[in-house]
Amino acid sequence: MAGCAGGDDGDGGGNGSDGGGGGGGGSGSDDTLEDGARPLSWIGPAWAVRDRQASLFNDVTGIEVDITNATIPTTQQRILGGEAGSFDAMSVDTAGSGAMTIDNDATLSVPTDALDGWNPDVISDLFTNPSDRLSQLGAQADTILEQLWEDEEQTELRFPPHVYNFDAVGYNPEFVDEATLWSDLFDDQYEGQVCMGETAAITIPEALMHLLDTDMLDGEIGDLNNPSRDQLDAAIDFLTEQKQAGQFVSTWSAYGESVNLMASEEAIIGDLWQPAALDTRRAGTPVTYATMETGRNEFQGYRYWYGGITPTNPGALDRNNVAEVQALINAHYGAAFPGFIQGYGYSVPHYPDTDLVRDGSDETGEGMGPEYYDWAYEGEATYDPVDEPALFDPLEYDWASEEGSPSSDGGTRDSGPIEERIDRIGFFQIWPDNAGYMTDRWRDFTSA
Amino acid sequence: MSTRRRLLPDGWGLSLSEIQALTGPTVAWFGLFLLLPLAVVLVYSFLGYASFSVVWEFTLGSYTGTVLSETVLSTTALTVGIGLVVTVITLVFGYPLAYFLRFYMSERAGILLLLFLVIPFWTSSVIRTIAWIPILGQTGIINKTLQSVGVIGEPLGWLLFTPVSMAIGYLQNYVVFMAAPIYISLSQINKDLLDASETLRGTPLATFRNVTLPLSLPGVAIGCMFTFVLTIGNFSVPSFLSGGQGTITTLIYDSVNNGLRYPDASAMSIMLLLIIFLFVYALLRRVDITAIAQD
Repeated sequence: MAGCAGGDDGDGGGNGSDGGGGGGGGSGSDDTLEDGARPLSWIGPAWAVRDRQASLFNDVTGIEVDITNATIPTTQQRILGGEAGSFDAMSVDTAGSGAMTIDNDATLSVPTDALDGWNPDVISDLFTNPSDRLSQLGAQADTILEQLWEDEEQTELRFPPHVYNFDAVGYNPEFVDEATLWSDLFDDQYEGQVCMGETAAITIPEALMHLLDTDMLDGEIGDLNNPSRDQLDAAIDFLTEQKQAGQFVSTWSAYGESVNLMASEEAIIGDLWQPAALDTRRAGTPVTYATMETGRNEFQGYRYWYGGITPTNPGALDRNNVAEVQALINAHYGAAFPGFIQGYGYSVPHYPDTDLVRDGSDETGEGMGPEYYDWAYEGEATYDPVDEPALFDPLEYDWASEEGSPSSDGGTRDSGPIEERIDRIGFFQIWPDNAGYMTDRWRDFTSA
Repeated sequence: MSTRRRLLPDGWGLSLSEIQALTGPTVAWFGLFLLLPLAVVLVYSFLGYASFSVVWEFTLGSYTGTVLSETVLSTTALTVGIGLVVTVITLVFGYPLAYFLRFYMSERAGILLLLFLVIPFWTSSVIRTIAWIPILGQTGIINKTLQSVGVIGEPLGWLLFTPVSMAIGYLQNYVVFMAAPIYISLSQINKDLLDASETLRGTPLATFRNVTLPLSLPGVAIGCMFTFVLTIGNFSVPSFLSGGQGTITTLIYDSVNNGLRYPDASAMSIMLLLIIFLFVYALLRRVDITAIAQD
């Protein structure tokens, strides 16, 4: 069952700055790659922990990895419920990480010195300097630093990132001309044809962006990922009204549900994850992942989150696998991982390192190559024509390894070049301070 | 009268130690896998919560703040209502099915056909439930067929993510749990009683009302018990076929899924358990289900 704390009662937010514990401190042990328990044990959701990643690490180190796929709540449950000693590494996203890295002492921070691939010069400033790069987010940028760093000097990573994305609206272009705002999910013309996620920490901010941008609610963009009780009330009441009025054909909680809803055309627009959009295409139904706009009052935009890998406390320590987990993280900053994970729509922190990610190679394998990289990060078209952009599958396309010319009929990546996507981020995903109140009130939406 | 005499039929010459040896494994199994987990759930329902963690302090907060909240109470009422309606619908379909198998088929064929109803259970309930989506959906088999033969112009939107699809999902899942015990009850009816009713010029309807139905009530009660309990505890049908309509099980799931709120989930589970106890108790007060085990 859940981890038991002896602290005071209360609704305790997940990522509150007053959260105790604090990531378990540094992991400066004398551990080496030779002396740990085998196989390395890694738990996390299927989108963050895949067999290919384990084999990639195995190719480099010869160390076997035992993967356990679990949803974020189940991962939290197992790590906080007494199994932190059974796993060496844990992966979740920034909505779920704070419970383990900030509020509880279940993970170990990672010194950047231990990560050869973490070179601040070629790591996106999304991670090294979010306050400047994401100045449009106001106070939200501080929460990125809190998730990411153990110290202001940026010498220890609290939750080292390996994937991230900018989530958007997905829509079927056969029925929807264009969607660029979260507000489109609440547009009357799509009544009864919208699929809406029912994860409180995700759906509520999407509604808040709409409410703030359309002057239906007062607030600052800096509040968006840590809303007040009044703002939560407004968003949940609004969503409940929308649900009762029949705006949503169905809500979804599991990834596959969203794919089913879009693939069967029961829904023609929804708040999708990008891999779900790609899986819908693989089922034969066209989907466009929106290029988001920031809205009338600059309150809307992409929902940014990142997933990371962190050593567990005490698992990695007791099993002498701290160095192994650091090597696992480091393998994701190599040449091969960016191309693999882009096939699911996700980006990597070291994409600015074009010498490695675009044109280079290392012990993990080859980089993406010019066509794939330019398509994924620069907004360039493919070298070959693409007949049905809304059915394009990057995993099936034969990417050129040599320089070439983008075709005028080529396909471009959904949502555009990465720098433009970053410019239009409207929200960074965390678990808010008022989470207790939020989940209490969320029952109104669930049961409506 | 000794306990042994009260518990055992006449003529059973078992010693107390033999009885203990025979019942011990069952008692231990129930203790270990039923009572102990329930005790853990009960204890957790009285504990506090703080940010993904259970706090070891006694509190009634999960009951006063969650179980007794308007949302949870109304959702509970809805869940019980769904359970009762589904039980009635399943009875309406299950009784004629069992009756047909018992009185219009040979014994072997009846049992064989009853077993056919179990075949879908070779797959998981999630798959059985989700499988209705390509059947009932707007681009599903029913709508496509009706459109292709010109019966309808536009797809029928009320087939999926409505009470209709929920009823179909429940019915498919539970009709066998209703029909099987009724079939067993009907099978135990002495045919001489039916012949006697006919000899006394009882119409088929009178025979059914005065002989068949009363004697099959133990099976009906057990079927209702199965169906009601399984329905109000079902998770896959409201999750996949309702379009987002929450029941008490989805609220329990959400409590764990959003912040690991075990005390709230435990308190709602205890409430659900009490409702089930009340239903079973009320049913047993009216029907003696032990009759189904007697010759």
